[in-house]
Amino acid sequence: MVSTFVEKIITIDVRDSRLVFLTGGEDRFFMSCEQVARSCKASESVYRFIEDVKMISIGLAKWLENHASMIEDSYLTVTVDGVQLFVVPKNGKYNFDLGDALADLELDLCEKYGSIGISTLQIPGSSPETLATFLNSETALRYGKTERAHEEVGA
Amino acid sequence: MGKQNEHMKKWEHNRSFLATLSNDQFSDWIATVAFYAAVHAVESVFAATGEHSVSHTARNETLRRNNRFSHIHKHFKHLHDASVVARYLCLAKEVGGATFTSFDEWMSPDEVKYRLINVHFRHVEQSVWRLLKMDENTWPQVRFEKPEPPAPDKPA
Repeated sequence: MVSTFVEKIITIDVRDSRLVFLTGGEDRFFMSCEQVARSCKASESVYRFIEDVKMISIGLAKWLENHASMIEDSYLTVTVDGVQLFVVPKNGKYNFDLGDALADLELDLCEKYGSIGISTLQIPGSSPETLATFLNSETALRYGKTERAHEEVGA
Repeated sequence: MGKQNEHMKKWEHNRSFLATLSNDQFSDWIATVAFYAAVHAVESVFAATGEHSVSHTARNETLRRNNRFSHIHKHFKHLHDASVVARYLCLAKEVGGATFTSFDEWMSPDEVKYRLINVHFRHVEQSVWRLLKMDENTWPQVRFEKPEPPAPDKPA
């Protein structure tokens, strides 16, 4: 089946502090200048949020690599509350030193990306039951086991 | 809930209960009670400036975003994270081939008493007393004492 795409020209006109969008047909949409400004700002915030999350994700990968001696596994989720990093410590026991490092990491990220809520949590293991208790593993990004990956690459 | 004196009453109430707990079988509850005592200690500080946290997430955010509270944040985080696992962990798990069945295996009763409470809970309270310009000596101490090691048998 062949389909054709007809490009429509949208004309924007300013009338009485309102923007009028003319689609070329009979359709006309009105928006106040404030509404348009808000939409642009919202669009800009979404774009900035995505860019910030990308940078946070890259920064976290480096941090995890630097702390690989204490970490067995880790997951990143992005929710309406912000970004959450879940860390499984080695030996399956709560690690107070890792807890101190995660507290410092949170402060550091909060200073750099203040508009995004960033939190971390040590969790006991990465079995499906544990993950289901603390996070949505279907939407979580799993970081590689950096230390082990390096060993495999070097082997 | 919101006024400073209400939070302080609840803080005192929770820490009084904490002081009565010593059964190692319930270290998950020791961690949880300590966390909720700390929650009201922190909210007492917030209430002094008219602030109030609507959720645990919001409270943690406020602690992270304000340099005045960074010391509290570092110690409060251990209490928060321990209590999350203490409250929600309920299934046997596999960790590195070992069966993980309880909070005790995640954080031992000794770690809860001598590290979580004696160190981190204490630091949170001391920071709060300092910020509220209160004399900590007027508060009964909550501290778990390590039992004395058994004396060696005297030779007959």
